[in-house]
Amino acid sequence: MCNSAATRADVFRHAGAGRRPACAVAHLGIDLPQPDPAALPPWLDLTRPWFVCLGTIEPRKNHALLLDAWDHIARRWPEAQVPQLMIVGRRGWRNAETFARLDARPQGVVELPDLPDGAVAALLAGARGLLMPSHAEGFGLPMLEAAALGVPVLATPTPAAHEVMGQAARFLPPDDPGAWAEAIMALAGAERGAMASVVGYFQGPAIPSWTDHFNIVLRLVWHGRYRQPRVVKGQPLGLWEQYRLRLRRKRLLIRALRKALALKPVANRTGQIRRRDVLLFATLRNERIRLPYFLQYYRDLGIGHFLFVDNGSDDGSRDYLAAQPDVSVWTTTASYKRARFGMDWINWLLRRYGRGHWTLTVDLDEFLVYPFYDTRPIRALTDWLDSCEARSFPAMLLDMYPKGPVDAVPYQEGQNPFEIARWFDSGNYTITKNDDLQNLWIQGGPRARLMFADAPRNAPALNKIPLVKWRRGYVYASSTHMLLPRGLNRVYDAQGGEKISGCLLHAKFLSTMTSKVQEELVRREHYIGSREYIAYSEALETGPDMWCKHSVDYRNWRQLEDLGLMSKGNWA
Amino acid sequence: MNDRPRLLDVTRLVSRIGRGPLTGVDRVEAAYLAWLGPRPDTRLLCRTPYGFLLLPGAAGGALRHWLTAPETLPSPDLLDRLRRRTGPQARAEAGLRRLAEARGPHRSLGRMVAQALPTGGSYLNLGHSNLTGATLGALAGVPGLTVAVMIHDTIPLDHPEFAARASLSALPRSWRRYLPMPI
Repeated sequence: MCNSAATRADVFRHAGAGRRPACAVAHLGIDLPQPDPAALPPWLDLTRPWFVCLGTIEPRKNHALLLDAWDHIARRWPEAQVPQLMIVGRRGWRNAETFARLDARPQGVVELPDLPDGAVAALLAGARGLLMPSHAEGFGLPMLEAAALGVPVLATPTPAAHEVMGQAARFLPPDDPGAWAEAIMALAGAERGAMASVVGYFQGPAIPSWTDHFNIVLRLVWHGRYRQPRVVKGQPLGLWEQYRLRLRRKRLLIRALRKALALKPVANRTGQIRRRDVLLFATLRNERIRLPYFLQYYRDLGIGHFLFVDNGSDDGSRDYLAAQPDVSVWTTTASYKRARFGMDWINWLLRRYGRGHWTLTVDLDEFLVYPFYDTRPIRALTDWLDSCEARSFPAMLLDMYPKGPVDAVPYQEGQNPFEIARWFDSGNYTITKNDDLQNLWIQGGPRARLMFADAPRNAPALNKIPLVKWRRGYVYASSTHMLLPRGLNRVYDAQGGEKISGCLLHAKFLSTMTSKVQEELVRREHYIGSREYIAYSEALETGPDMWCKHSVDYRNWRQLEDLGLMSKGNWA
Repeated sequence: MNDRPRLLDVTRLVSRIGRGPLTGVDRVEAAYLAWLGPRPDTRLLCRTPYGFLLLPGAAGGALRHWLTAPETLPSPDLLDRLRRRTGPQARAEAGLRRLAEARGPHRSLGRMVAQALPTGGSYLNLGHSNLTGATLGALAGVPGLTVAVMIHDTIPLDHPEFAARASLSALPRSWRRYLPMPI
């Protein structure tokens, strides 16, 4: 029995891939004790706003971060305004440093060991928020108790917290006291009724009951085994629906064959491809300045061979690529738009050369980041995906931008673009599930905020599935957002657990942007009447600064994981 | 389907009496006791220094009462008094001994459970206090008995730096015993 899918994944990881014990996941129920304000110590000051941190004072619970955050607040706000931190729990073990800091009685911090349950409930119910900065959790019962009382939760994005709280908590990294201080000050300053809007997307999670829990557990122990209900597949498809999707897939494949007639090989070195190589596919037009860094980045990740479609470049891109030893290039002057924005060409190349290989399909301004990418080559990732029997790997497109006008710092050939565009939006994303093709639909980020503020539904999609173990019959249905057959789009865990995922850092917003926008406006070869580019040109004229005070400075992939933008799943 | 007997391990809860509010895993075991205790066909199992106690589910009521009001515990038994073992745990064990429907030395556990649950049933361990190779070995030999253990997290394995010194070595080893494969 496990209390969360996250714990079960951990157990399986330790057990090894081969033999797994029969194991049911049953979320713990909660029963709220009756709040009993009379049981609170009379000396407590309940006139000033307070926050609660619940649990034994041990290193794992990361109380030190809260003490740091309170130092921040005490420096920023006058003494009378500093909210109180009620630390409920006994002193545990191996935490001498934190104990010493508590003994120094920092401003606003109150330590409350051995409170009875009723008093804790009363304290929690009146709090401005529950703070859970733990490094690791198996379940996190107090978070659900707080949510049941309508108290906002600030927590670290542990897999278990994501699973039980979903969107109902605000997740902050475990090593950034400044961010915690900001969030705490925002909650302390808000009117009680407006707290939800401060936390952002606070909404009640599903509160599990002990009845549900015992229904699962007792069935397991009665029958000796328990089959977790399978909800993964979503709506089962009728025969007609199945046929419709099959037809759509076949149509795309035939279309790819037809459009590929326009491709002329410039340099075809595909004979060099070895059996286990990871292949990269891309289309480009006039990207000469980006090519050196692009090739270097992906060679460093261990890409075995590059396959490019050049769409009528006149800046030397084609010749540069043709001179590279590990690159094959095709060229065409046909319409990018009529080739479904290049996807028909790529689908054909994938069908012809990608079969049996892990294939990465990206644009020239997209840089794949996956867990441990700084120390492990892409083959380590694909080997892990193979061992999990995964066929596809998702990555969220993360728009990176500079501080100040986009064209302020000129981009030099061979330069890492993220030295300039090193800011991103950490939290303003929406996710919906597309029931038809099972893919997730992610929108948001700076482009939605600046260029589609009044029509967020038209903002570009950020969900991508760039890395696929290609088989005959696969086809990209719409850019790299969706694949057919639709099972390839199911890259998330519908049972509440976490699966491995990455990010595609998007280096579009550089000084090269201005000329690109001018060119594309004349060509009109982009998606939905180049709506995106029209919006860009309007924004560029007003001297744009995409940076805002909520922008986050990019450091490394662990930061993206802490923010919940990617996950290492069970890969350790 | 409701009549399959259950055996709930309460060793951890008995050791927590009189030690302040329950935390984490204790609360889960207490929730199980509250839910299963009053039902027919529930038995409780408690390990004491002098052997195992097999208790009727109704004894759970007394146990829960002592958890909230440790001052009502009975006085310890003679042997404990002679050993100067007079804490709440010894006193609770004395009280439970009077309620037990069967008791026996540690090595008689398998026989005792097989007699009390002749049709088999399920053994539930939430608190890991009684997770020793001897206990699990004896229970595995009881015909028709399913052994179920709840895993709360794998923090001692993944983050040994966060574990209390005592649990550092104990927990992972006890896991290895229950898992059917080496970890």
